Amino acid sequence: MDQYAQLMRQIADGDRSALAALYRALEKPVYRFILSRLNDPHESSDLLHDVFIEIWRSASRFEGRSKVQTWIFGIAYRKVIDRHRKAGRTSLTDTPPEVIDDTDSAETCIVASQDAAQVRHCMDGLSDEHRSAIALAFWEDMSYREIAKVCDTAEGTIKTRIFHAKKLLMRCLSAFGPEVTS
Amino acid sequence: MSLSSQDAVLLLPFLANGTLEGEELAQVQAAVDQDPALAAELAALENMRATMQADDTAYSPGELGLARLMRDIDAPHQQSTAPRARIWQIAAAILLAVAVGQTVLLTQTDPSGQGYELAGDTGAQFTITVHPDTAESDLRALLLAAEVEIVSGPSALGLYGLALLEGADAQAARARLQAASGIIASLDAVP
Repeated sequence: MDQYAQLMRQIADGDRSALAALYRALEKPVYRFILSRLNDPHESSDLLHDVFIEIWRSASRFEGRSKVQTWIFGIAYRKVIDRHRKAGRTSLTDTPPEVIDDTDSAETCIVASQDAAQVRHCMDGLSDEHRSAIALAFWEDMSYREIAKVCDTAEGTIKTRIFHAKKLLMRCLSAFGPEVTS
Repeated sequence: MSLSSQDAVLLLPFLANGTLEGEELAQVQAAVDQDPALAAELAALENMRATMQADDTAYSPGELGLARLMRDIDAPHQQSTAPRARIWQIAAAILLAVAVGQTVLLTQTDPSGQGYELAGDTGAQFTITVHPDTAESDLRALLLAAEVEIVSGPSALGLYGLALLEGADAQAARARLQAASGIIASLDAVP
């Protein structure tokens, strides 16, 4: 059993120190994930708090069929959606590219993709669904199966979602890259 | 069976993050080895991932958030803390506006021209100043953990008056505030 699953059992038994240990281990990545979707540090802090409150109250329902991180990110994913609904926010539409003809974009965005500010700028332009998928893939190094569980959707949907997000990111980053001479 | 180019492209991000396994890993790697365009795209994705992982600019609530969590897990079921936080923020804003108004009034009417005192009996048990680079979220988490609320300030000198929430322990609150030396620049008990 991995260390987080053991902590979850202890939390289910009411062990506060286990909750503190889990919080210390995972609050930063969960916060980063929430912040990437809300773009508001205060709101993100509140939602992180709500996520760990729910972990405390629902730990006994964790059945171990997925990794603990997947379960927790799933809670965070749903809470952000709830928050968006309550706030009446609609996801930005970042229309996927119709024509995939960017043979140069990979090469031109290699340099730009090394600049954190440019990557952040391009991430901000993505819709919530695309940003979530990329964040889970590249920040949390989750497999497409794990991301599908977090987002409660089909594995194929996640693959195409990340494919489109990646294309949009590369197109955006290419704009920062060196000019390509033909 | 080999992967189509389109299938390989779909799986490329997961080759970049190292989560492909077994047959899928071998097939995507083989496709990359044979196609320079795929190899270039993989390099871009690996760069992007490395840049994102190195970009540590999100300052999470940390120990202050943990203190708040430990306090709240004993509380009976309640709604999301966010609405409470917003109410707190609104209350703080109103207090700030009142305090500023009172300070202006004092400045205008005090013949000595000093005008640095806060008007009225606010019921504050402590006065504090905070370090200028303190994030609002950090201060808020500390105040919640210490079970105090802002009842006056900021004054022209940057002083905030804090009162204990109902049922809160003064010594425990003082200890928490004192321990947060990264946030609290000065702390005094109001006689």
